Amino acid sequence: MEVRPVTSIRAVRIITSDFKCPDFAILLIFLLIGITGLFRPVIAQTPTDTLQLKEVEVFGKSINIFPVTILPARSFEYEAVRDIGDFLRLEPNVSGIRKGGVAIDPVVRGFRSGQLTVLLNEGVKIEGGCPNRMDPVASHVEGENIREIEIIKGPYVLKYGPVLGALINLETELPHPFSKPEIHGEVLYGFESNWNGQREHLALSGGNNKVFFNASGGFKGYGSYMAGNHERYNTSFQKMYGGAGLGFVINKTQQIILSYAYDQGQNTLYPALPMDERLDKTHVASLNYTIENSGRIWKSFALQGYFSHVHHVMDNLNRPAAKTMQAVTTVDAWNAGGKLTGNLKAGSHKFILGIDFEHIFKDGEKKMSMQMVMDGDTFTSVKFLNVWFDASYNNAGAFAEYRIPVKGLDLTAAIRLDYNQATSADTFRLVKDGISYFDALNSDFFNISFSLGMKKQLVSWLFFTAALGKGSRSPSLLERFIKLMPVQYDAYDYLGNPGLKPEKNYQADAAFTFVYPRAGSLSVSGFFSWVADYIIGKALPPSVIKPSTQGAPGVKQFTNAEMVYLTGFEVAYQSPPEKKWNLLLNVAATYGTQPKAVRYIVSGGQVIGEETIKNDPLPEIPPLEGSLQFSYKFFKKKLVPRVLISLASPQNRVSQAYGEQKTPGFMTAGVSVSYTPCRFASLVAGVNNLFNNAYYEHLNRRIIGTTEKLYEPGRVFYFTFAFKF
Amino acid sequence: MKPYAAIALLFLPFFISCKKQEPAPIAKSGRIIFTFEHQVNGASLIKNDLIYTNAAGNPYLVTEVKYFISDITLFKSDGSKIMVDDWKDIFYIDEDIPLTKTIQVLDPVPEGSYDSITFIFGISGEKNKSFMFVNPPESNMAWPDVLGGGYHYMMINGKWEDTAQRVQPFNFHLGIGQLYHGGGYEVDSIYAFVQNYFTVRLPGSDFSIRDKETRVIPVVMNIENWFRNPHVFDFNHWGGGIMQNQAAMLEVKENGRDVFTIKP
Repeated sequence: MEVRPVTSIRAVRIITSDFKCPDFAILLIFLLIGITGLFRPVIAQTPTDTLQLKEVEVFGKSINIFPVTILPARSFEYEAVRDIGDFLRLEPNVSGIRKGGVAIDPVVRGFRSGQLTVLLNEGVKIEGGCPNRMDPVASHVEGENIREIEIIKGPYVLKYGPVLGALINLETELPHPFSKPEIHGEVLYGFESNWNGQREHLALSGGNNKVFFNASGGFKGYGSYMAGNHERYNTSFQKMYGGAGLGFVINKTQQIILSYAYDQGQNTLYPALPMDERLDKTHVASLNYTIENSGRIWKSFALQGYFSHVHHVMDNLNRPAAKTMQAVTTVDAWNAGGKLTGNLKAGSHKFILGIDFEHIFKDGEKKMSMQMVMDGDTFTSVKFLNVWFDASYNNAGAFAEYRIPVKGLDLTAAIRLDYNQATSADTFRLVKDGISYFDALNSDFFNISFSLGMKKQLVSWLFFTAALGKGSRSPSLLERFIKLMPVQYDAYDYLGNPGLKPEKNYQADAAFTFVYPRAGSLSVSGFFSWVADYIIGKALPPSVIKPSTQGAPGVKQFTNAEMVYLTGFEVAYQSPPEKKWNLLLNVAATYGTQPKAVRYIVSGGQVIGEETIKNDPLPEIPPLEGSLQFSYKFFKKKLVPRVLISLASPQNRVSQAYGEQKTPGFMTAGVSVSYTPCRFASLVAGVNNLFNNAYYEHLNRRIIGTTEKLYEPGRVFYFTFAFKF
Repeated sequence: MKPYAAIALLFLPFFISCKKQEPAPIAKSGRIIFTFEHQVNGASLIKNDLIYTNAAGNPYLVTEVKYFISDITLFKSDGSKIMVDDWKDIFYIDEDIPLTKTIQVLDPVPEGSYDSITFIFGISGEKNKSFMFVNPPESNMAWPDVLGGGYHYMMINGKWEDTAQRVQPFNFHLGIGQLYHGGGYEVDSIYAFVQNYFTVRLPGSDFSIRDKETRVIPVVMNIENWFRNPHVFDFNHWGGGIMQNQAAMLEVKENGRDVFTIKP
């Protein structure tokens, strides 16, 4: 194991290792743990003794019991990345749904939207305002403010809230104390050709060992991009953001951090959606209070509270259809909650116990206007439709996690109990011929989730991990109460179903990890997932309800399918990190199947019948994909060129029920070089899609009104310059 | 043995009651298809040609024919009736969109004899709501809210030659009517709306259907009948636009009862 200093000044990040280390290295690790200030709630440290050292890297291989991927900010902060969802697509079995130029919606192993838990700082949640998911959670946070991204695949980690398919934890830059008064700053400028896009970012942090702060702000302005097929797609957007944090060390064991962030998107065009985002304003505030070294058995406590509000306005005013009918939708979404966690240690037994709570409130309205010219006179009709009407969602949970090493095995077990309740004040009712489609608007559930995991070092170079778990997810406010919006893969308007049952994911994971100090590491993993009461859409007769969105062939209502299953694998190789050359290889695939699905027959733009399809592939499952990344460190890492090659096989396994199209395979290449002349400055320049390939990812949506997919950007030249002090 | 006998007795009711449940019998049924043809004086409509003369003596041509029918009802010989609304209840028919001129009813039609078919020409007041159609071509039939809202029942557009031999456009539209204070047509003076939809009883529409049979019912709109019986509709009197003229639309409504026939 080797320890090397790096040039940037950050909190020390330690990568634990299962290697047998030389004693001096172990001493150094413990010294660093003892004196550095990592202010994450569950780390046992003494805040006032924190010293801020230069960043060091401890090379080794971290073997987690559960499928966990940690992405430090430096792996993407200088890349040509407009949003986090875009960047996450580089990870194996992580894809993204593209509807425009930004706000790519993550999909992990086939699980998407509410099936993924996406949160900030291990607990802060944001409820998106857009029913079409123009603003998935990750789009409300800028990559420049991210310190680290943690992806946990599977329903195994239960201390952050209910989770069904995967969890994405975005750790933002929070203020931290300094051993002596310091102030630091960063100025970043990035440019991308093709889009003619620019981003500017400014950050400050500083303080002493008692009071500390950070602040940041920035702007992004991008035009429409041209794809390799020489088509220019309307994908322009603007974003501006800012935030600040303030922390206090109360005494030797107690610390409090307050933070606030604002993010605004405007005039964001989505060619694959019937509307564009006119305005999206997000406010997020949080409070973190920690007590460390609180006792012999209770090691630490952490209390977190947060509040977020999203105001979202979207319309079709830029679309041809607006000539006859204009639609404007305004939604406000509030999310508030908190968590209390305690760490307990009794001998080798470690416990994490806690309770958490989440409250969501959502209200939205769609205004439709239609102009008609009749007998020479112009008439205007206006209609208002509630998208949500005072809809609320409450979830209270209690969780316990237990870890113990037993005879060479690392074991962990967790259990989570949730009480979930939702209601709406909507006066809309849909009952026809004695069938209640949208009636009783209160529902509550009691959900149990659990997980078991183990890790075993079979020999010095081989590790085996296995996990088993059940995750439960109560239906979201969208699935329960949405009224006539095209919110899914297909073009149908969707109607909520207050009578939906929670989805349950029973999943198993297993992985072998081979670690050779001089050859690198190779991990081979697989999973199987059986999801009961999977939420899908079922078409309703036009005699019951008709769509309210132009282009929608009909209305589907959310309903529970009997079950679906997903399975897949991931293979990853990483070269020894201490080498000058670095090679990363990934191959991954997911396969999803619905044993019995319904295909609706559409004629003349309207549903006229249905048929049953057996073993229909689930829609929006990416094909077999792989990537190769090679870099070399010249001049003590001051100059690092890199090549990235991405490959995707054709996706021919498509859903007939959803009318999904096959996608051809593709290969893209990118090159970049980073130059760090000194510890204050960095420059990255590169080219993405070097050969200007015309291609689209399988999960890219179709352009509204066509069967054509939204293509990925063509060749993009970019550079990013950062100055830090 | 006694405890075992008691246990056996305890479970006995389950064995007695656990009969295999027979699946519900599937009713014998067929399918029905309506086809629509637009004719003038017994021959298929020829558009954009000033070859027709109505009962008032107005030479005219037709450029567009489009309309809604709804609530198709099949009356069985035993007195029961079936309304076509399992899947779709409102149907749009357009001379320029051939697909719309064939209605494949998805509702299964029980085997048996039926003595008549009726439908509503237009859309009933209960169902005729603005913005219920957002996609063309149906959305293009919108009727302004200030004039009653909902959708046109019918648009027959064309031209007629007036008494001065000038060819004038007409919009022969039927929809929700308005009643005005005074003698004008200012929307501010509207005091009531009138539902102008009506029920069409297809003459000679008795039929029978067997299990798994598909029966085709060919329906003809005899356009000339819109202009006569009981009222002779004169464009020179009413002008080219009638959607704000309830008196004119009432004549059209009353003329409409014998517009539809079954093609022999």
